Amino acid sequence: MLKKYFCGSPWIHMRIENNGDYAFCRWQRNNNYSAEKHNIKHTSPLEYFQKHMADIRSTMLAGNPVTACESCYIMEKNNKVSGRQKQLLKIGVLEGHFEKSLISSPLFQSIKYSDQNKGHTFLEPVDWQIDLGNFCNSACVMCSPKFSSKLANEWHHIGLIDQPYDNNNWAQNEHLLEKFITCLSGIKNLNYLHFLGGETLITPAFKKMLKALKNAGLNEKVVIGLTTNLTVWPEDVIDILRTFKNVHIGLSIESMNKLNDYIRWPSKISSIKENLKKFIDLTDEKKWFASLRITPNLFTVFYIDEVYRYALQNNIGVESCNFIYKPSFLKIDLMPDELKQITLKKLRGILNENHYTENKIPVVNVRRKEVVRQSLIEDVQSVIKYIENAETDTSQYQNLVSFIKTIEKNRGNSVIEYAPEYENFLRNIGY
Amino acid sequence: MLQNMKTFSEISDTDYNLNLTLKIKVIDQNGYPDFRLFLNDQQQILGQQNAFIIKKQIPLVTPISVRVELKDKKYSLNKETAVVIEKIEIDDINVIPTYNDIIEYKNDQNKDIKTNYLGFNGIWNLLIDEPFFQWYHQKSGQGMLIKD
Repeated sequence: MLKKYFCGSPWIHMRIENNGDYAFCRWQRNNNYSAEKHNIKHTSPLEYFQKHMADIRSTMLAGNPVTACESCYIMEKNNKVSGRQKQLLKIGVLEGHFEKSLISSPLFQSIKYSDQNKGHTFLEPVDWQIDLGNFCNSACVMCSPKFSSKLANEWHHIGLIDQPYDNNNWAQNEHLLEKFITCLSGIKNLNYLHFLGGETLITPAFKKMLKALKNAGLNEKVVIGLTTNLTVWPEDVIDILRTFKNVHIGLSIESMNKLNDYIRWPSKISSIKENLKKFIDLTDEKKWFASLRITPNLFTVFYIDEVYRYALQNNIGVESCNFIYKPSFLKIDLMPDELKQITLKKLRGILNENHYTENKIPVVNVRRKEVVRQSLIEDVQSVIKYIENAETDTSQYQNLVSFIKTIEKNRGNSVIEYAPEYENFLRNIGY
Repeated sequence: MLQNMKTFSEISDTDYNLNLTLKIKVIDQNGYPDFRLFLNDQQQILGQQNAFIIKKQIPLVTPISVRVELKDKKYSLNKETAVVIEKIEIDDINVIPTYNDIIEYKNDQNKDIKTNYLGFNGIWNLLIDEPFFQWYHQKSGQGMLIKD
């Protein structure tokens, strides 16, 4: 059914990953997607977008689901605002008026062209996720070497991977970076660029990219998005960023207490909070948008109420990309019932305090100060719904124990010191 | 039928209109007002009533215009004659009074006011000069709207 599966994203958006591979969407699940890979070394972004994404567009135009879009379907099932809903909104499609707003969309004729031409398009990607490499000073437990050089080194050192990880960061290649910047500068209605790493602010290519965009005069026109792990405050990069009119900053934090130190090792929550305050002040001063970026996992979801409360007190948004599914042993689904009930009670408390009543259609454009409260409360409700619906998954318990014991041996810590409520559960499964 | 469209082609091949609802109240203490109502420049034939609810289907992507012309009102301190646009809704989306700011009201008192209360002789105009849902997207703060 078209309304359920159609998405505006393949007509406006694409992603380039750390190794230079292209992806059709920042939310896609690669493990569900077996299409041929294309890389910036051999294929131009425009060719990938216009030609090689044709199949995705055709599938959606036929009203069929795309298996790699599963993350968005799961979010919607739990009333969480999905990437699909956000991208539909960017082309003017309103969920409550789907058919009429689709026909009224500025892109309707272009979409119709794709429908009549096997999914091809002459449009250009104006909305991007640009992964600049896995330079990172953090080794978050839910992350992978693909996104963290520190984790890559650690995993090799402790035997989680046999060979040193080949970082293969495309953006380190000056020629490719220049070619890419030239391509971006030539896109007529370039609209939104979201940068990711690694840690974006220490990634060399990020500063180069910002300078190039500014030199091309795009700092007044293009919205820049980035996510930072709050461990650094590089004045030189911040100074260039200040010349951009519109910036959305994602502030990665998983917990307001010391559990954050365990999850986002080796950062320390005291300095994280200091930088958090600095970024909030900066975005207030510049009238940019900031949100706390969380990815609730098995451990952090227990304390997530503290993050929501902090956000409410500071009138700052909370966004999470999806419900964590990788690594599978950190999914919320592994929570034992006792801990689930305590978590639910805490989260429901937030709903009660804020007199929550369920809206048929949630706020989709969450990046507005005036809807921060409402969209945050709706996000709380989506987490509640996910926990209520999740059947306890015991199949990953051994993987969980094996993994955390391995990394803790190297790091000299123990999750029980940071999340003591989990001790019984972990001991029972062999920790 | 609208909710079960399976493919884009089905939507593309279907004619859709907007449903406009216009609710008007008439105040006639000082005589029934001499007014004319135009929807997309087509005059609407109205009787002499104190309240009207007009429902019309209008094209989906063309500009929308609602115009009320009021004339020959005799101003009095004690008795009132006026036309009140109580509500304009398009596909259940309230336009008036929610978005009164888009009103243009040229009147013989030279008052620059955004109102749905027509108490002066003049021409009251509401114009949405782009496809309705594109206009609504911007007006209701839905964020960036990408165009080709």
